[in-house]
Order: sequence, then structure tokens, then C-alpha cells
Amino acid sequence: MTGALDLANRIRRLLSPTGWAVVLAVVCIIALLATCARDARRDAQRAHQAAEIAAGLTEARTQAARDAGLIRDGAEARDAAIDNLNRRNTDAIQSAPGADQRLDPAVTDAGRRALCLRDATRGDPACRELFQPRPR
Amino acid sequence: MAILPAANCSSLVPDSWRVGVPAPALPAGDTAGDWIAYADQAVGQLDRANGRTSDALAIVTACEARDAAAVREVQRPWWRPW
Repeated sequence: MTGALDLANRIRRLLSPTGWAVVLAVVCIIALLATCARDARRDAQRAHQAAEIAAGLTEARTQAARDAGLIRDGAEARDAAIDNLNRRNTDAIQSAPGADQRLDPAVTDAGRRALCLRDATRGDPACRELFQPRPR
Repeated sequence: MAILPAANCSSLVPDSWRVGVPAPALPAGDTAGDWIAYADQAVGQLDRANGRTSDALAIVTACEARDAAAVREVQRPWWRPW
């Protein structure tokens, strides 16, 4: 215990109080500079990573646009096939025996009224005509 | 933690798909053929709409997966080869 106090006293006497103040100031400045350097390095790392991610996302978006193009091409082909099947089915239905058989107007009228209640068909000209108030 | 740009994968979905698939025109005639053909056309439009739904989801899902892979690749630690 006495040895430790002696050592502390010897160290204290190495410099004058002003000298110790200068040492303390220098230590503080070094610590401040080290902190600034660490922050700058961290900011640089973040900026570098953000730039890398941006570049990666740009490349990913280019590839995704290519994927989307292929899917759109497939959708166009499917739409064309649906149009083609529509035509063939309509021909087959209209040329089948009984296709020209007239339905009871009450049924077709009820059918039109029912269809016109649907959102998808509400705007059909036949629906607008159907629900138009008749002049007296 | 890096700040990422907002993903806009949905912009890859064609604009024309946003308005939906229209219903076929109501049958003009009153014959059985007219009404059965109308029903068939309506189912055709349903096929078209279902196809677009699944395609739109596929476009967005693939885009998001590519974005996620790109971010993962950058954030991967140097000591991990995969």
C-alpha cells in the first residue's frame, strides 16, 4: 500500500501541474480525433454498402423486367388462344342442332336483368337501355 | 444499416391489366345458341382474368425475390462463401 502511494507520488512529481494539464489536453484531442476518424470510416463503409446495394438492385430490376417481359409474352399468347377458342366454341355452339331455338322472352328478360345487376355488365348498352325509364 | 430505395416491383405489371377484364357484350338475340355462346365467352374472360392475376403475382414475386437476393449478396459477411 505504501509502495503504491510512493509510486503515485513519484509519477505526480514528474511533471508540473501545467505539464499534466497539457498531457490531459493532448489525450483529449487524440481521443476526439480517434472518434472522428472512426465515425468517418463508418460513414464511408455505409456509403459504400449503400452504393453496392443500389447497383445490385439496379441489376436485379433489369433481370426482373426481363422476367416480366417473358410473363407478358406468355399472357399475350394465352389471350390469343382464348380469343381463338372463343371463336371456335361460338361456331360449334351456333351450328349445333337446337341452337336457333327461341327462348321464352320472360326467361331472357329475367336473364338480362340479373346480368345487369353485376358490376362487370352494368355498363353494357343493353343494361342502360333496360333500366332507362320508359316515356309515358 | 444501409437505407434502401423503395421497391416498385408492381410497376412491372402492365397498366392495361389494372382496369380488369371486361365482360362480354350481353347476347343480342333470344336463341339458345346466343345465350350458351354468351356463357362460354364469359368463362373465357374468367380464364383471362385468372391468368392475369397469377401472372401479376408472378411478376411481383419474382421481382421481390431478385431484390432480396441482391441485398443479401451485398450484406453477406466476407467469410461466408454463400
